[in-house]
Amino acid sequence: MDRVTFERMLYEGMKDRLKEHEEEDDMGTMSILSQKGDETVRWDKDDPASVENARKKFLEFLAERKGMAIRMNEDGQKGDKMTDFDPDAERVVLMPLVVGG
Amino acid sequence: MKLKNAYQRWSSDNCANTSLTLPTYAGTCDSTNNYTIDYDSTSIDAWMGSGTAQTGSSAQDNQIAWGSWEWRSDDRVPNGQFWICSGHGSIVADPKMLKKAEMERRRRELLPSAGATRFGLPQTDNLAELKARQLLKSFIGGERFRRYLKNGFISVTSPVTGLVYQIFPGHRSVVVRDKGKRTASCCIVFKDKSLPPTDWVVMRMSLIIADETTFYEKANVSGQIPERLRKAA
Repeated sequence: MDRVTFERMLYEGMKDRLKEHEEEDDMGTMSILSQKGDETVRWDKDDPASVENARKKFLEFLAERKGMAIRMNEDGQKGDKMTDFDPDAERVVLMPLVVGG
Repeated sequence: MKLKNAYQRWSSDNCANTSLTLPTYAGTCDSTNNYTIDYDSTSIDAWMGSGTAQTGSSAQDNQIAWGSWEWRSDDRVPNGQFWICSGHGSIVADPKMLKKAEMERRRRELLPSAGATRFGLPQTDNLAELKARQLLKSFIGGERFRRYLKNGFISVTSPVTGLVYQIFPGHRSVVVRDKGKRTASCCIVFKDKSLPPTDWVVMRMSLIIADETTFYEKANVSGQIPERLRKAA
């Protein structure tokens, strides 16, 4: 095996990890829980269009599904409830209506 | 000594020219369970060399040592993971094997193995459930996620009251524990029952972390509401 082949194979093995690393940025992420798994909406607070799009989805969801929005920090250790969209939030989980079981 | 699963075929037969000494392997190792390995290798396409390596994670006597470390003599393998086979006297790192092992590890994370305990999560090819598991993993991290797949629940400690919640997927109650003692169980569900089971875990976990009071308001509680929660409220 020559060196180029060897390095290519190493790169293939590491590619996913590199991709994950590259995706770590300042963008906010909103996960909308639904029957089809979660839908992810991302926004950049410096980009008004993406913020507006996220805000629109946020408000639509709360109005239509009567659900709840929770803001979490990046590692999911802290959170609080949200009633209005906040572009500074790191991660937001939108969940449909919950009831006592 | 047996090698495990995917690494099995890499025995000394495949690297006959490799010699290895494991001075701390037989009997004891140092207090931190690290193994120091002196190796001397010129085989496997000559990309391994001589040097000393030390396992980075704990391993026990009579087990195959597992660890990740840097090959100090060769920069081309900066952070490989290798199996050390004392019985066969070989150290082998093959890029194909590394890639295969990584893919296998990722597959197992999403699809728990058939050998999992009966309490673990079943395998699934449901895309919604897989996405839900991926979302949960992004919150709780790889190690806790693996435990979730194995045990079938996650434990969440409330940042406000310090109570521990045992959260199960799907339509099952959340068990509340105060200093290890079960004090109550709370049932809270999605009105739309068709959401994937692991999304229920995300919902319960988020509610507990973000707003414990709302969690208790919404849930059907059986047992005593913990004293600590009343004080916090």
